[in-house]
Amino acid sequence: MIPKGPIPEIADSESVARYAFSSGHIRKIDGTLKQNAFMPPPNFDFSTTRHLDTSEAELWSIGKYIASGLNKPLLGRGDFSIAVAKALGLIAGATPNDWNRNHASLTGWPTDKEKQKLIAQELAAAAALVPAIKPDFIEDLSVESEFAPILLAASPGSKRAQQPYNRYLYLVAWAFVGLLVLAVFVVFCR
Amino acid sequence: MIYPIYEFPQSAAAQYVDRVTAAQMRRLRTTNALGSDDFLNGALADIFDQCSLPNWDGYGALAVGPEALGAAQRVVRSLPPGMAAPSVGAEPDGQITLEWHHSRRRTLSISVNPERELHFAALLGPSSICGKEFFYGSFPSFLNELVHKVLSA
Repeated sequence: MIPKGPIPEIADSESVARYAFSSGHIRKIDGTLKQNAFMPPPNFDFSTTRHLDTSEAELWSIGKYIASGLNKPLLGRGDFSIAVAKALGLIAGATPNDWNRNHASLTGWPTDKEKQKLIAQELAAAAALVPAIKPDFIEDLSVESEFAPILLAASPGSKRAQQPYNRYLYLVAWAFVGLLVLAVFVVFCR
Repeated sequence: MIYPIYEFPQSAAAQYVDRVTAAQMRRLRTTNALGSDDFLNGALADIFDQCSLPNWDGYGALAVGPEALGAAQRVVRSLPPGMAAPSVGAEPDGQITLEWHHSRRRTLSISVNPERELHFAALLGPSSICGKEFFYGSFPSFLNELVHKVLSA
């Protein structure tokens, strides 16, 4: 996450993420994002999260934090370059908030619906869908992040992350069942 | 069916022909080979279920209302028989979209609004096109051609 202090301006070389919470935003046939995921909201303030100084785990944690607040599943995120958005005439501005210092907004959307759709299609074509990761991935979250406690607590995977021994219990149980089956087989063969 | 004034059948014979044609079209649409009505109506119902509350996308989207659903159903019913079925979706302003997708840069999306406007945008390889057509009961021929253009790569 961007460290405390002044927030740097958004460079053209940066990438941003747009989280997907609606299954209707992802095409099932080829796993790409639909233009619907990139249409501007009613207030024309298109919310994204900057990749700058952010680990992969932190990016997912932010998405999960938002998802938990919405009571919706996090399905994935679309990563795209700021240069693409600027080439389409959008304005990128850093808009950090209390829990996401990497938050950025894309504004400057045209008022004509068809032009909005075309921009959204270009963004969708340029974006790479990264499907949501396994909840266990949250274990990799850096504990040095000042947001780690709040994000960990919000993550649906956090309970599992705190109880890794559950996995070993399953393994032992299955091994026991396997041995039992083997013993029965040997007895009957005699 | 909804017609612009100049297309409305005037004489009794014309109205009879129109009724028979409409009935035959309905039958055609229920066939496995040419019809996709059941599939599309199911998909529209799903979208309505998922998006009928505000903020369905997590970014402050408006709810998809019954009038948006009705408008989309009218457009879907007007699709020519045999045309590839679009995938349906919703947009943050509460409108329903129909999408024909071939690849990342060959795709067409049409937004249906209750005021009979069809806003469309398409990527056609290196080029693109966007615009607005009006819906008067029959699927605009320009959009019909655009669908074929997008899908015939």
